[in-house]
Parts: sequence; C-alpha cells; structure tokens
Amino acid sequence: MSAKGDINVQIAAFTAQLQRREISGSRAVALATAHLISRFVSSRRWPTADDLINQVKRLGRELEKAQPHELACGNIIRRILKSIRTVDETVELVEAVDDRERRSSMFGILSVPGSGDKSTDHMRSRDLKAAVIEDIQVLIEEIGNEEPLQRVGTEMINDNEVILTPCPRSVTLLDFFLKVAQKRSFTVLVTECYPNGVEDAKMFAERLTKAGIRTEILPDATVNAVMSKVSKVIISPRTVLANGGVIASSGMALPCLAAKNFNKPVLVFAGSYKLSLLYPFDVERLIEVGNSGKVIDFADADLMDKLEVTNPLCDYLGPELLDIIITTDGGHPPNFMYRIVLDNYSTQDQIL
Amino acid sequence: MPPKKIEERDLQAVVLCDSYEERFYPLTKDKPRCLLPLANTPLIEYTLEFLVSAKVTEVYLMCCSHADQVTEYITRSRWGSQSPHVPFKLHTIELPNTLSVGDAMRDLDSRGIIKSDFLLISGDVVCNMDFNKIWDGHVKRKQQDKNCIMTSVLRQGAATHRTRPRQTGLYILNQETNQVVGYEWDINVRKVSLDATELLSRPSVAFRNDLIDCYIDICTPDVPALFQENFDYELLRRDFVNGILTSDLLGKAIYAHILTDDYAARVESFRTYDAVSRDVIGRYAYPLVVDSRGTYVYRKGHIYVQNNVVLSQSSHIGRNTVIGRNTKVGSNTVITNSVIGRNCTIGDSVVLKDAYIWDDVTIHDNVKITESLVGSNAIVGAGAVLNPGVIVGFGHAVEANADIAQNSRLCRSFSKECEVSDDEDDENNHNEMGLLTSRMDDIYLSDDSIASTSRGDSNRRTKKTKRSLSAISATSVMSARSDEGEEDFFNEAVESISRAILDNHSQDVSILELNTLRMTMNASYDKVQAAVIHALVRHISHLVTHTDPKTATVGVFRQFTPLLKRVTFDLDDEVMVAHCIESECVGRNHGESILIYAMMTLYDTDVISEEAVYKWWDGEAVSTEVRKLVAQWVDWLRNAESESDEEESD
Repeated sequence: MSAKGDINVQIAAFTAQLQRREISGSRAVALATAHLISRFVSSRRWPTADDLINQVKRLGRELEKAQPHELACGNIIRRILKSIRTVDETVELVEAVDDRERRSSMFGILSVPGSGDKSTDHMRSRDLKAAVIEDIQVLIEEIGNEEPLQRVGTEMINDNEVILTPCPRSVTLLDFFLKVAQKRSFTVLVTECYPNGVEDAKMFAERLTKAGIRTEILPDATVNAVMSKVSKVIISPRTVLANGGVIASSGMALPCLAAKNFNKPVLVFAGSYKLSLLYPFDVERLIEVGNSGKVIDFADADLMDKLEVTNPLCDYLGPELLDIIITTDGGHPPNFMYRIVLDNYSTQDQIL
Repeated sequence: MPPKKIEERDLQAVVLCDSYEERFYPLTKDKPRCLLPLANTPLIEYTLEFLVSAKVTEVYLMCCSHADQVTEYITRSRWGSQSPHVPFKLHTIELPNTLSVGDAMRDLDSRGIIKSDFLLISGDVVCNMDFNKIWDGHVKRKQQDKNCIMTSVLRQGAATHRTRPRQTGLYILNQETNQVVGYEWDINVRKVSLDATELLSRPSVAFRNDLIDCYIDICTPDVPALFQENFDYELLRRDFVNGILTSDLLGKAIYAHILTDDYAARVESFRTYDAVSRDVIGRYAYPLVVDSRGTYVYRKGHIYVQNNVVLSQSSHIGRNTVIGRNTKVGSNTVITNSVIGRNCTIGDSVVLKDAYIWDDVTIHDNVKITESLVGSNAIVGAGAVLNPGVIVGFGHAVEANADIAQNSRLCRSFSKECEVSDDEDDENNHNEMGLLTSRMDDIYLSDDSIASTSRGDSNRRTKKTKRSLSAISATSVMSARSDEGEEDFFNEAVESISRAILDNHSQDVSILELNTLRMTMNASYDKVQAAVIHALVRHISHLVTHTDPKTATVGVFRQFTPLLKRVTFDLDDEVMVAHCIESECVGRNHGESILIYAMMTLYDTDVISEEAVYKWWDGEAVSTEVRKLVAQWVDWLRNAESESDEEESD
C-alpha cells in the first residue's frame, strides 16, 4: 500500500511541475515522463495487459491535461503503450507454443487445469511487467543518446559553411555543433529570438565561441539580408507532427520562410521522442502563449493600458518549408513522416 | 526523472489572510477577501502558487474574519491533507480576536513558531517573481548590515500605473544600497520632513512614488518581536515601517528590493482587483494564467473558455474574456473584457462590458452591465442597467428594468449597517473604494486613508484633486480638515468605548483603539477625554435605572481608572476631566449624585489631584444645580487639608 501511495505522490508532484512549467523542454519532459511511467508500471501487479494499458492511458490523459502544450509527454506515453502491446503479443505467441507442448506431454494430462492457469497468469504478469520495464529503459537510453542523430548530421555539414540556426535553446543542436566542430570548421549565425530567447541566444553563442566555433548573434529581422550568404538553416523543433510540419519555438518561421525564398535547405533535427501522432488541424490550440510582460515593459503605464499584447511561444512550420527531417534512424523527407510515425505508435492510442 | 529536490533551506512563510480593512465591503461580509475569485480562482490560490515557486517549506495562514471558511476551503482544496502531494506543510491559525495586522504579528510572536527569517505575505498577492534572487539579496545584505530586519519587495511601475494601489506611500531610498531612508504614508502631504544628516550622509537619495507595494516582505524574527514591544503598531507600513525609520533608539534598517522584470501586485481594492484581473488575463503574470491548470482552453485574443460552456450561435465573445464551466450564453449577447464565473445563465441580447460576474449568477434578457461586479448567486432582472462602478453583493436580486446609479453598492440584507454603507458610497466614497473608475482618463485621489481599522474614517468627505503625472514627485494638494472630522472622531470614540463596556473588552484594547483613532483623525487629547467621559456617564445613567447611583458610578469609574489615567497627563487635563463630568451630568437623572461619586472615585484613585479639584471648583460652574452635592465634599476636602496642615504645623 505504501508503494502505491508513493507513486501517487510522485504523479501528483510531476503533474504540478508540468503545470507550473518547472519542467520544460521536450527532452527533459520526455525523460521525466519515461521515468515516471517506469515506476508506475513497477509499482503494482498487472493481471492483464489490457489492465496495464488502461491504467497507463488514464495516467497519460491526466498528464496531457496538465500541460496540453508539452506534446513530448504524450509521445512517450504512446510509445510505451505501443511497446506494451508488442510485448503482450509476443508473450501470447510464446504461450500458445508452450500450451501446445504441455498438452502433448504426459505431465500436461495429469495436471489440474485450474491451478495451472493461475500460475501461468502469474508468470505472464511478471513477464509482461519485466519486459515493459526493460523496454522503457531502452527508450530512456534512446532519449538520452543523440549519437546516431549527430552521425547523420555530420555528413551534411561541410567545411567553411555558414549555418543559420534560429533555436538557441536547443540542447540537441548545441551538442551537435560541439561534436561537428571536432571535425569541421564552420560559422554559426544565431538569431536572438526576441523576446523569449535573448538570454538563451547569448548563452548559446558563448558556449560555441568557447569551443572555437565562429558565432554571431543576429537580430531576428536581419535574416532575410544574410540569407544569401547562408548555406543551410538548421532547426530543432519542439515537436514533429504527422504531416511533416513542426511546432517550433517562436522566431523560427521567419528564417525558414527566408530560406525558402532563397532556395536554401532547411534541416530539422528531432529525436524520435519528438515525433507526434497529431495532425495540425487546429494550429491555434497547439501554440502556447507566454508572458506578455516580456514584450512590453510592465512599468510603462501608458502602453499597458492601450496595447493588447500576445506573446506566442511557438510557430507552426508547414512541411513545405522543410527539406529534410533527421531523426534517430536517419533523414526523411517531411512528407514521409506519417510512415515513421506509424512505425513508432499504435493508431489505437491516438486518443488516450 | 521526477526530481526530488533537496531543500537547501527551511523557509517559513506567514500569510496574512485578513487585511483588517473594509475595502471589499459588502462582499467581505459573506466571504473573506482571500477567497474572492480573481478570474474564477480564489485569490489565496495565487499566493500559495507563488509560495510553491518560492520553495517555501512551511506556511502559516493567519485568518481572522471568516476563519472557518478559510480553514474549510484549505482542507477541501488541493492544499489539504487529503491531497496526495502538497509541497509544503500548511497550518491555518484562526485568530478571531485580532483587530489589526499588528495584533496578528503579536500573536505570531507569542506562539514562538518563527525560527529564522521568514516570508511575510498578504493573502491577496499575485506574483511570479524568482524568489531565490531576492532571498540571496536579503542574506547578503544581512551580512553587510547586521541591523537589517526586513526586505520589502517593490515592483517598479509608474505613479499612475493601473496596478499601483493609490494608497502606496512615498518611499525614500538610498540609491546605492536601496535602504529605505524615509517613508511617507500619507500621500497627500505637501511636505516630507527628513533628517538632514540622513540626506548628507548618503551619496544619493531617491524619492520614489512609482513603486507598486505588493506587501511581500522578508522579515527577521525581530519583526514580530518589535510588534510585541510596540503594542500600538497596527499597520505594517504606516505604523511599523514608519516607526522603525523614525526611531533613533532601535537603529534597525529596512531595505527595499526593486523588482523590474517579474510581475508582482496585490489586490487591495476594487480598483486593483480590476487591474490585476486584466493583468492575469493579459498574461503578464505568466505562468500564473487562467489556463495554467489545464482546465481552460485558450483562444486567440486572450479568450479563455472552460468545458461545457454553451454559447449561442449569435452571441459574440470579445477579447480578454474568461467564461467558467457550465455557463450558458443566450443569443445576440455581446461580452467583452469580462470575467464570467461557473454555472451562470446569461440571457438574450445582454451586453457585458468590463464586467465581473461571479459564480451561479443569473442575468436575464436585455441587461446592460458596464464596469461592474456581480457577486455569486445574484440575479439581475430583465432590462436592468448597471452603470459603471456598481457592486452587487452575494445573492442580491436586482429588479427588472432597474437603472442602478454609478458606484452604488447593493447587498442582500437591508440591515441598518448595509444601508449606511450604501449612502456613504453614493455620496463620496467611489474613488477609493470605487471599482473600475480607473478607466476614466483622469485619475482622482482622495485624502482618505481607508486602511484604518475604523469605519468612521470613511465618513469624511473626499477631496478630489488631480494627480500630476510625474513619476517621482506626484504629490497632490489637500485642503485643511474641517470640523466634521473632529465630530466624527467624537462619535467614533464614544462608540468604541461603549462597545468596550458592553462587550467587556480588555482596556488595553480600548486604549489602543482610542490611540489609533486619535492618530488617524489627528484629534486633540481634550477630545479624547470628552469622548471617554461622555461614554462613561452615558453608561452610568443607563445603569442608574436598575441600581443606585453610588454603586454604578463608583463601579464604572473604578473599572476604567487605567483608561482615564492614560488620557490625563497634567493639571489642566485633570481639570478638563472634571469639567467634562460636570457638563455631562447636567440634565441627567441623578446627575448631581453621579457627579459627586465620580469626583470622589477619581480623587481616591489619584486620577484627579486635590489641586485640580479646587481649580475646577473655583472655575466657572456649568450649572449650580449639579454642584449642590459636591459643595459639601469640596468643603470637607478643604477642611481636611487645612486640618492636616495644622497638624503638621503643630
């Protein structure tokens, strides 16, 4: 009972953290979600796979409701649901074989059917649990490991290139640039992403400069002017949607549109936990609106009274603006994403 | 993984759930201020959310009025013990007998629960600041200046900022260290007196009239102790801050933290209620926004709609609007810049502009509501028009086709008290209490300091003066107070003492009350004496109907000796008291016996000296009738004295 109480406390604490934006960023949320579900699964016994699926779904609904804009959370839950389904199928398969063997042997004839079923049930639930937890561990490792992504990406960067990136907040891109810098020399232009990313842009540029990469911070409005000098635009979105479009931090749409205008390639780096089953039917719903005080000074009484401010935290970029989406298992054209998504998720889990 | 952060520090927070003010009257008659909904969420929730983000480990809620409601709310909410995860230990302390913030602080001190520096916050604060920065600053300052006892958080704003309470005092800060050098509570004074040495010893001093005082303070345990020592401190700013700064003996220092990035504001009047609502809806307090708990859906233009809302096809929902669960909106209804609570029914062709409609309200067809507030369970009849500034109390029914005048306050029970408050409001009180008048282009100021605990205070006529726009020196003119104020003081003081007699208060309380009244209204001591005597004699003459004059008079005067001693200081005062008693006794039944026994008792208890008795006796008599009995006593006194003199001379 105490273990159960404990997991409930953890769920409540995590929900609260999501609501308060104490955990943010796709990778952090994905990792935290995976860890939480791993504990949830191990916290009690699951008589059947259906039971487990229903409970995980219920938990997923709760978490999605807590922070509907953090899609990574839902992605992880759907990935785990898919793995539960797969594990369940294989266990059933193995059992069917077992059953046949047992029936054909003398031992099978003598055993009492009732008691035998019970023990297999118990075995099954234990196998299921262990297998699912193992799968979640693999998933956690996968989220943390961006090596394959970097390997694919490195091939796409040449010496002396000028790369524009409008997402100074991305840990993925920072790690990527630092890795590539060991092999190639190139220039990075970072847009400052006013008003939400100014601080991050400075930090990002600082880190890159320290690693010996030539880095410049650009005001957002100048991207069109420098685009002719840029050889590619690299972005790392929050979420990749099923149609190949992406939801990215605000300030990314402009460089991508400029790149389209100048026919420069736009590369999207996204770990597989960013892939989502969603189609952008209602883009407005997917975009979170942030702090208006960052746009205008709260102390300015006149402006405050007369202006109405909206500070969207995300941009939606349609698949037509992107050229290639690089995930953990290689690069794909945006219009192929629906296929990758189907590999990762089960369509039954579209709605939790 | 769900990070279980190890707390580096134990931080206690004290939340003052009661403001000891009546600015939200009549709404606070039924519900404490901290449970009033702001954008459909009780105010206390915002404060508690802030405390969570500040990583507070222990919270004490100090409740006074409607303490039971607060306790019940907390136990049933997600902060209660039933909830699986509460990030801090939460205790509610019910203090039904406290009359001011000072009392609450004294109680806090006597409980001895404060272990180290703590966060003192009002239960109506909306804030999203990064508390760690401020805490670190406080710790650093304490290392540099051992005498630092408090850090106040002040948000930089502008003198005319919508979110700035009009009653925020003038802060005088040392620009380098942000130490508070001076504080002027009364914003209408034309002069601020400052010690010249204070000014000269510092490189630069700033006079700040642009700060939003959000009543978030980091206090050392000295603060409650200082309240204990100075039992006449009532308000945190007017009495405490002023007292510390003007006292040479204490040598304590108060610092300010000027906030420039984050949001911090306090809902202290209807005007700031309106402003903070708009800030929250306009997402200035992000992540404290309407949809932060995932129950609202955000739509473009700051429109928040909860589930199960029925909007008719022809209705129009304008910008900056919040609509709560299960609310129905009829056809051709237009809603803009408004907050509508849960379970409301809004009829056809209704126009709601800048309106605050709380839960379970029914609004019939063709109603027009502008810049007004409708409390929970109220009903607004068809065709009614609510003009700007109207406040409809809980459960009140506005009649059909009524045209409610500007700034009126309606409440359910038409008790005497309630009607009085209505009149007051209609006459003069709109601006300070006044709801949404901030939306007028000119901002007016009143010379009332409403934060005083007395209600009579608000009786005074307000003098409206236009405020100058300059951020630093926005002072305004105030004309001299009229006699009216003194008369009010007299009535108010008499009332206060009578209450003390009837309810059998301790005399410390009445002394405190009298002192406050005297200070707020700037009354002289003879007024105080007159009021005390009036109240006592009036009480005696009530008693005389059942008992004999002697026991009544002696009893009452003996009981109130300490009080009388507190208001008489020298010979003149004593004569004055005697004179007052005399004039009070004129025309009363048993007046002459009351006078004689009163004089005797006062003489016996040393309130009045012999000398004073003679001086009074030789003075002009109000009426010879009353003096009949006293004459013998005075003669006896004179003889006794001369006898003893003779004895001595022998």
